[in-house]
Amino acid sequence: MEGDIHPILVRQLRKAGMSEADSIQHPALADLFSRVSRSYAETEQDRYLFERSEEIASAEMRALNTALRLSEARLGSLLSLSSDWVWEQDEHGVFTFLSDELTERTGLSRSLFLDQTCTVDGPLRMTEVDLDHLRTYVELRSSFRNVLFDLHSPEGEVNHLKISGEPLMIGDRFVGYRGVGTDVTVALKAERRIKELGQLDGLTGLVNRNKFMEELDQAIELAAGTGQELAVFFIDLDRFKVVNDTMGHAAGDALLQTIAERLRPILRQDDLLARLGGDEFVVLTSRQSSNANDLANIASRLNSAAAKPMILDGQTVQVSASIGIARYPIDSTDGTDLLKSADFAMYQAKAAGKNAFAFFARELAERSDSHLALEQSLRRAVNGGQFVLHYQPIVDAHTKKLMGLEALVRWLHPEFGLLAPAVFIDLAESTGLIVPLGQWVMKQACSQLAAWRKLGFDPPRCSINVSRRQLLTDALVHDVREALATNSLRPEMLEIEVTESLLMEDTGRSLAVLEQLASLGVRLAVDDFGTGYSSLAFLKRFPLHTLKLDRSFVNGLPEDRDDLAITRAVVSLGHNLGLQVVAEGVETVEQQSSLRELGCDLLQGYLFGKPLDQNATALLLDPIYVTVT
Amino acid sequence: MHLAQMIHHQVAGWSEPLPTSLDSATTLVLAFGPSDQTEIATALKELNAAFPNSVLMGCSSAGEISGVSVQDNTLSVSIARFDKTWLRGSSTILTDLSDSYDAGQRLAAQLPSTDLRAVFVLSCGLAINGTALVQGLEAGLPRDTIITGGLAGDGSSFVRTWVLSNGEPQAHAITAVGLYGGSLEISHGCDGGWKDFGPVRTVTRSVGSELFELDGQPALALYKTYLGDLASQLPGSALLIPLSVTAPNPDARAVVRTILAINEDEQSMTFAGDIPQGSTARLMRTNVDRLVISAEEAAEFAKQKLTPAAQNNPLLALSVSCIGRRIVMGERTEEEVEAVADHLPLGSVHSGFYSYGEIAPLNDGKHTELHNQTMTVTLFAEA
Repeated sequence: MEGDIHPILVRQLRKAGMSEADSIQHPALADLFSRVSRSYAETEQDRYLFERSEEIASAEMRALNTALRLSEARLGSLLSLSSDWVWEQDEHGVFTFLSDELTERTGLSRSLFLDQTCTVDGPLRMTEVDLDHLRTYVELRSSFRNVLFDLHSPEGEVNHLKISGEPLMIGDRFVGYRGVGTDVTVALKAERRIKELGQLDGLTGLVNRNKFMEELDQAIELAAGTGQELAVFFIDLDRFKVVNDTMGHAAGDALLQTIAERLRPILRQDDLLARLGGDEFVVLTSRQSSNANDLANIASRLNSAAAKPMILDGQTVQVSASIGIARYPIDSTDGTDLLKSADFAMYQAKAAGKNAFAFFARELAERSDSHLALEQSLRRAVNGGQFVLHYQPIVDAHTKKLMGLEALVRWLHPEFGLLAPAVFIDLAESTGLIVPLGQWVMKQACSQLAAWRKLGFDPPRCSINVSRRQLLTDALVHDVREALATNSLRPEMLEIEVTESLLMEDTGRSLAVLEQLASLGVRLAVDDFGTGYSSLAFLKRFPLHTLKLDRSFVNGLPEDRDDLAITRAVVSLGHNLGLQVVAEGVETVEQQSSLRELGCDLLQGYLFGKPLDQNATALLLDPIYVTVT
Repeated sequence: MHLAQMIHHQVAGWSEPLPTSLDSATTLVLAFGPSDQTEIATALKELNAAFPNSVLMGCSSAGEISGVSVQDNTLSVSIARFDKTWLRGSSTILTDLSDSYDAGQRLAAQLPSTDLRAVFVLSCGLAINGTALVQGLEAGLPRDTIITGGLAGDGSSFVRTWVLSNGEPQAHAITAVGLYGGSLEISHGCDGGWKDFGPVRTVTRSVGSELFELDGQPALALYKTYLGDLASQLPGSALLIPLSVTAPNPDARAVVRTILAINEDEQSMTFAGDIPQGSTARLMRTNVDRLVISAEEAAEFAKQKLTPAAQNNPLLALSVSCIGRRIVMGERTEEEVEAVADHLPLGSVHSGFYSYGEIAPLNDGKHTELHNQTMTVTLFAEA
């Protein structure tokens, strides 16, 4: 550029009557000409660059604008397909904009939102916790997803809304949030209903186990802070299974519903009653301080409510409840453990005779921890011949002549000595060891009878108890037949005892087995009679020979009028069916004479002899009289 | 304060005799000249001889500022003998680009901190990280020290620069003078005058100060499109369109970056400072009028910071402006120099140069920064 004279200057020089060549006349003129020329050129360049950049920048902006419109249209069409609407809030969380879709999609008016912000008690309502979360998001200027709030309309209607938002910045200045919202009222209601259903017991409408455990854990967390005391009542119905089995599931269900209805009114509003399943109910109470008396009072009222008779299918039915109580924080500070403790205590109540309650006692629980060790040693005992049989006399009510023996098993434990069945029968039953044990008893009793005979004694018939599991084993009939044959015993020497409740549980199957036993010629007795609800028609179906009156009725004799009446009825029922009636647990002379007057045929109890070992028993036996003709 | 100013022209010699009587330990002699040392060798020798006791500083430039004029290929000399202010010179040699921060610290270490008020620094203009140099200096100096100065220039060639060290031009030297004492008044001002235009872009590929792509497109191609016919004059013509860059962190401020070089093979451009990937960037433009107004504002700002007494007494004004501004202004460059000179008290000396990087705090900032495309004005007065 330097040295070139700009065309404008050339023209100007010409008009002034000068030319480029005139610069020769003055040395500074050349420099002047070139400076003036440069100024012109620079100005032109300036304008060129300005216009060019203007043009290109505006083309770029136009292209961006077109792209933006396209993207906007794309978003718009996506939005129109979704169930969402768009909102904007200012930096204080106040709604400043809501798109038309709000009204189109939800029917809600913009005015419900505009100039409003979410609060814990305003028309746009949020929980304190959610509001705290939202505040944190806003402080961090971070985006948030699926935040729920409720819109309370002036008409009192509530819509559940869900919003997601991103911070809105102008440059680096935070000016609010923008996002999308959805009405989730229908979905949320459905979800809540589903959740409720998942937490409720369909039969009774009480909360279920899951919900109860959830509530228990929460209550414990709360109590840890407030110092409140909690109590869990574990309620198990006694003899529910009998009702369910004999009267059908519908009756059983009705019974559970009735029990639920009865238990509820005993409790305070904020106590929690739940059904864990089956015939198990559970109660959670929370008190500032609860002494054992208060809890016992509640338990005994629960007991009474459960034990009231009810009418099912036109029949009067009575059940009872065994209740275990465990306390927080005394017994445990863990929910699952607390429930387990209450469950354990419930078993104590059952063991103590049912229709009762018991507090959790740690020593007992610790003892029960040795169950596993016990099971192992029981298994060894069954295999290793650690059992013996003792025999209790059964005598004629009038003559007191020995008419029978009941074989009772004892465990000759290498460490603990002689153990009664109460210690191990439940365990043997639950582990299945009862089957080999029962087989052993059968064999042993029969071979003992044979042994006595060989020794010249004439033993009376022997009663042997058979458990549920044995009765349901096909091997029982076979075992009995073999034991009789091996020992050359007449079948009537053997009487098989089954409990009344066992008979009622599975009538079809037990009937079949009992009929087979009866066809062998073996006698059959119903043990613990009077505790179940068997009717005359029911008893008639079984090939029975003997009714054994439960010891609980004998206890009250001769004073208790109810016991007297029941005993009289049982004797009369038995005799009408052609059965012998045996009374168990006879301990006093008064009981003996009362039973004799009531017509009982045979008596059994300490009054006539405790269970004795084989040698002591032999002393009671008559020698065999050889009849010489 | 005694002031003097003269120009040495290769043909015409000194515009007036060197005032040797001003030579003293409290005299600052500043000399700015062309990158070609042969043109000024004699003049420099004479200057060294005339001021053996003074602090002599100087560097090559892209235009020497002297009063209201901007010259090329001259040695522009300004002399200030302070009455109540004392001086201390300091210098170091830059070993390589990565030595920039340490070099700043070395310079600072040579300056006693007691009573230190201001530091004026002149640095080689190529292969230096001006930002690191400033940070190194700042780290080594007392907190309230005002640091101003600039990077040496080489016209619009970007080939070689020099800085006077012990009276000799050195390619890799950095020098500084510390000004001491309570009687000294210092003020400064700076202003750019550039405006963003066009779309906001994103730096999608960059390494250090080398920019490859904006919005996924080659940056060099974009510049060529905007420059049109002027693309043939790259990289010089790219100075007409600097880049406003905002780093991708929340408290980053937009900085102006000028182009130093281009690489046709890589389709990349090298800037006078980092261009972090992910930054937002926008092209900038200006015109002569805006640049002149910005220079005026820089001068006005500096002047307002002086006490009323200092505003009316002769002072030493040092203007460091950017080569990029000079390219835009061309024949009208002196208009911005005049705008500064017009704001100075009668009898003041206005000196300075067109540089490859201006050093001064922002008007409202506490920290010293390296600027591009900016006019910086520092005023030294004695109460």
